[in-house]
Amino acid sequence: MDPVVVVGSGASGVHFTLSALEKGHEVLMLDVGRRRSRPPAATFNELKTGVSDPVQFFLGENFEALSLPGNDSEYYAFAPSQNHVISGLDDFQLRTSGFNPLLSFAAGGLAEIWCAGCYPLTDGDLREFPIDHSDLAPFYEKVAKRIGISGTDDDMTRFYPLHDGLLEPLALDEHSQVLLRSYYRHKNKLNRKHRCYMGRARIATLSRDLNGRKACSYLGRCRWGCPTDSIYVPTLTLSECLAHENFTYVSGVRVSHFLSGPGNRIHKVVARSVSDDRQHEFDVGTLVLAAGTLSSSKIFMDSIYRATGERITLHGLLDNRQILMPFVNLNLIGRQFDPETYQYQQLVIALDADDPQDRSYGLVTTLKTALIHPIVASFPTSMATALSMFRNIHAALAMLNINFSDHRRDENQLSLEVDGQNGETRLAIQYRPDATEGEKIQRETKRYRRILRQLGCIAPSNATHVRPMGASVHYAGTIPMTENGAGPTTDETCRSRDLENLYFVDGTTFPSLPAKNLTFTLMANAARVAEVAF
Amino acid sequence: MKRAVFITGGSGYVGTRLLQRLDRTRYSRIVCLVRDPDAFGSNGSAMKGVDVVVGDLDTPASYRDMLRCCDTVVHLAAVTGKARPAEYFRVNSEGTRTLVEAAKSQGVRNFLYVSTIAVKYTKQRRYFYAHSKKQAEDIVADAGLSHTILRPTLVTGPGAPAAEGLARMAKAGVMPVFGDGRVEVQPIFIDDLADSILSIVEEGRFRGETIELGGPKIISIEELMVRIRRVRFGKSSRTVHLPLRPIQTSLGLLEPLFLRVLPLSAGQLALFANDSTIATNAFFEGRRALMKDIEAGLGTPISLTKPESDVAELETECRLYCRHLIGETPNDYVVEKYALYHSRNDARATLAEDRFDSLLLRLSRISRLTTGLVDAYTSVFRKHSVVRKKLVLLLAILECTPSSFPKLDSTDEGSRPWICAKMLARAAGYGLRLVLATPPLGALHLIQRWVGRRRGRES
Repeated sequence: MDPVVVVGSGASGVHFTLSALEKGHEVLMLDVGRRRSRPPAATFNELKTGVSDPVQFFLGENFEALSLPGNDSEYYAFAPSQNHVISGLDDFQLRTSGFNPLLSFAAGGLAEIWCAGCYPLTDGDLREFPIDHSDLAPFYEKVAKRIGISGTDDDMTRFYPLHDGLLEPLALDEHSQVLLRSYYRHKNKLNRKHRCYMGRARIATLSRDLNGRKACSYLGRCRWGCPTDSIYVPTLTLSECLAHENFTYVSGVRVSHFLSGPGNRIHKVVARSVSDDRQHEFDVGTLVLAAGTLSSSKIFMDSIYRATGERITLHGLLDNRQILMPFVNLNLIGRQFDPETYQYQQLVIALDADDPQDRSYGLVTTLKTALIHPIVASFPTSMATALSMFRNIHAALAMLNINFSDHRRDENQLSLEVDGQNGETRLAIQYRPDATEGEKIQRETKRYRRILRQLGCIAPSNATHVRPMGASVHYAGTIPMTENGAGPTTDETCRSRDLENLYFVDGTTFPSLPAKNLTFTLMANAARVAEVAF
Repeated sequence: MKRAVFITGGSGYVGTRLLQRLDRTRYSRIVCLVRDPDAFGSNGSAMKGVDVVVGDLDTPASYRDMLRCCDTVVHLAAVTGKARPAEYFRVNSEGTRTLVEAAKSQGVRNFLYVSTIAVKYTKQRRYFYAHSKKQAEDIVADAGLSHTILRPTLVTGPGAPAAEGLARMAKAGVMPVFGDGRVEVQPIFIDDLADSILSIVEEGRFRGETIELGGPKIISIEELMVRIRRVRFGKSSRTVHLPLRPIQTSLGLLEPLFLRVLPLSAGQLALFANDSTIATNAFFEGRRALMKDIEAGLGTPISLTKPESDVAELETECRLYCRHLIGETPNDYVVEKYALYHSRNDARATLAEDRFDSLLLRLSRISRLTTGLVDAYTSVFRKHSVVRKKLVLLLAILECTPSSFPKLDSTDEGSRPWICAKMLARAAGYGLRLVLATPPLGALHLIQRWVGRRRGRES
């Protein structure tokens, strides 16, 4: 029997694959699969004193991690060692309007550099899905046991359902402790007046050893690669898959399209070698696209174009709008920060709303170790004064990353453009925000600012930054799962309604996007599809 | 698989840079055909690990044997600039024909021909260079070899011939622009062109394509000249438009007798009559994000290989700025990294935006007092100034350096009220410097803008 062919080794692809392998299926995975070298084991400060050329390590060989005034592109603070995750491919072309996407061709995909937030969706979040929380719950647990999620039962449980497999939370850094204590002091007022709740983040970082991985040892260099594998990344699950004898992993190829035949069935998938551009064909029993919403959609559109000459448009592209709100905790001015702590977010603030889909969530990342020059340069004073100020408020600084939900709208779309000279296709992305978004952003940022004041913090209004669409890297919605329907949609098992043996297990099938990081649900849904459809 | 490559024009502008950027470990053999071995030999880094064949394109006996051991030819050699029509056709067309035939006879598989965007100009009156390159393209395409034809646009970079020609015009008191100056150019930086050629060779991209290759941005030729004028010579825009057709006609009449003494030929003015932009293509789109911005190719960036005085100036600047930022003298590692950034061609911090920015830079280099005043002024009125960029660059280096990062990570000593009082005092000091710096620098800024606007109106 021809194998199940999975395209992509990101968070969705590896969890679908592991579940399918556990059920005895033979799986072939096709992947570009760029890899990183293993990071050196050291604390953040030991990296500065221990590596032979620290400037090259932290800023990059070509100073690519340097952020100078006047550089208008979005700052992601990626470490040079993460370049392999976000570097593009010559033959994957984009034209974008109103959307600045990040794509990955690395083994493990974009979740190789994620901040590990794992937030299950509620029935309210899933209102537009043909499935509900009870359909996903067993798979949230399954994935949680695989990857290890630390968290606890607190005020956020009303927004993030509990599930088995939760590890005890990580040790809180001092600033997060101060914020949480302040929240509990003002809890009644914040809950009643502002409908605001705060609690521990759920993060796929180990608070104790699990499955051969080590508990977080608080090295303070999460962004520069966790040397103990305490932060979950999909390549860990890929390694598990590689231990199965029914699994074949072909890296160094990019799938361009598939070939279908009688009975609306795909019989081959076509890939190009990244190194020499040679074309390869692979036999397909069932095709599972898990290359990420943009890449999976392009493969689908390219295949239709090559078979029929028709250039289809996929509507309903989704992404979370994000707003970055830096703030200063007045209680911590003059305190020394501890560099040996967990670097990413440890707290979440939720603003409740009558409609669950109108809720927004703010992830709180307190400043510990980081490249400081972009922060100092953003101060409204001379550089020398900014630096002396910064040193004394370093421990008091934090960032609130506010996420908003998104809903499918026709004007947000993907289409194909064809190069007249060589016939190569290019993905065209168009995104237009909702007309009422500006008003909503203003309203919500005011609410968050008031809440921060209540917690003893100041968020300067001119420092708040509305990130461009695409910056959250939560892409979804172009081939939604629906109860009924035709055209480019799937059924509730994520099986295409156009082709018998085609499944989408990444964000492509999400019919709406709550204001939560979708990666945990991507993994759970992929495991669900493997369980119920294979 | 390692390639064995045969390069013509290795001592030319593109060839020299190509050889400097070529990773020797990826090639089993590198052979260069050169006419003047002395000129080639003077380029130390380029000729390292290269087998040199002395000969001429039209004497295949001189290089045929070396072709036999190569699988790929990169053909860069050509007559450019101002020359007699017959010379263009002898070297560019017939020389290519001879080389192609020799390559075929020796079993060379791949042939990369570096042509020019000018072959697709619609107005090619008396532009024999473009005619000869088009003939050469046809010869390569019809030869039956696996080939790629690359059509680069205007090449920029230190000493780039075409861009230097424009720079000579841009340097004049009033800058002459032929025609209305609205034709579009898409300049490509020399390193991007060299890397693209290497990419084609190393990826074995020989599919019979004709690839047009430009830089990431399209601007008018007048805008390009204005930018050269500003960046290279610190001059504001002062332009005179000259009628293109009559000048081309006059030059065409004079050329048969006076070509040698004419400043340029009628054909060379085709740059002002045609758009030099590319039809976008997958190869270009794949490289666009890696390409340098236009400014990278216009200035004369400070390089470590330049005279000692430049390096010494950078070291002085680095030490002064470091004392200004953290009150300490930087160690050699910091100075070396600071200079390294400036030595790169895409060093954004090295280029002043205009004359006022250059003035701020010079003032900031005088003493700690002036550095402080310029730092204060630029924090409000010139946030993207070259001085502020350099200070951020230095901070980025200091925060990664073992000897300096602990200082940046620690608070002042003392109680919280004492620290807050010190912060207030520093804020007051900053306010004072801003108050002192604003009147003189603001006045200079306004005068510079007024002069610039006036010159613009006059021109």
